Amino acid sequence: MTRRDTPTWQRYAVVFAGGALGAGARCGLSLANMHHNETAIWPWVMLLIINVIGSLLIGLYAAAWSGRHALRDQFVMTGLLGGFTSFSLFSLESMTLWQAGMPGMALLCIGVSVPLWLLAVALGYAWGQKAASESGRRNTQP
Amino acid sequence: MISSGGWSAASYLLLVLLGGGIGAMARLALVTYAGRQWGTLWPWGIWTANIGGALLAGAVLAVINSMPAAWGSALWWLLLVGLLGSLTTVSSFSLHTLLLFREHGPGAAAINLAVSVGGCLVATVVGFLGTGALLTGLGGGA
Repeated sequence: MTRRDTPTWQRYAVVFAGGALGAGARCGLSLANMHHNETAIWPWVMLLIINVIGSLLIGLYAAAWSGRHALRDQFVMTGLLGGFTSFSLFSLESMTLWQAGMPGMALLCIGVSVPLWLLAVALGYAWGQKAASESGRRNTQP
Repeated sequence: MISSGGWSAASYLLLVLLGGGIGAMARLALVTYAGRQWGTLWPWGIWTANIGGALLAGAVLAVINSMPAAWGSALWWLLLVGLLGSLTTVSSFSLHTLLLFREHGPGAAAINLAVSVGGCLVATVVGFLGTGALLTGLGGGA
């Protein structure tokens, strides 16, 4: 989430590192090969899994661990998970499916993806609250 | 499928890491600036990153489609998978939607959802078709 305090070079450094690692992990998990391969469903499935995992983890982190260490929050939430998940590739893949003559599949992909992201973040957040209360720590809002 | 075009897998991964780090830093700058200017109730910074990134992703795809395969592949990994993939984020969108729902009700969450999902999809199509038309007009289109 956003912060009002002045960003320092450390913030940008940890976000660069986190973003690079997150994008690298996304690249490694997905085949990232839909270029000139418009009808493949596999890249879309992998990106959905990536975005669902990223949403689950940011909810878990926000509820259980955020608010205590600003640089760690920036590294995990802005860098690692922000770089891991991607909205632009989701949009591109939806458009590519549509243009490949599968508008129904494109709409289905959009209609399945968005609810799953939101379900994942809600589950992660509830999980994080439970973990935080069970460990006897005060739950902090991000 | 992407033609290898003489670029090794390791150089592609480096392009993704570099682009991913830069994209995450750009998102941090946008979120920090927007938070100072307009507050943090509505995620102006994430909206700008996601919708702007989706617009650029459509435009870059159109450019790549009109380029020689080797250079197109390099741009694909650096800009689409790396920089714009990381500039845009699903995890922060999901978390902000959940927090809006918890703190301000379903209406506020629905606004964020409509702006983000609708905005990104429309932006990608506009970026792709607009850039494609521009390239064709300039005589450089495929």
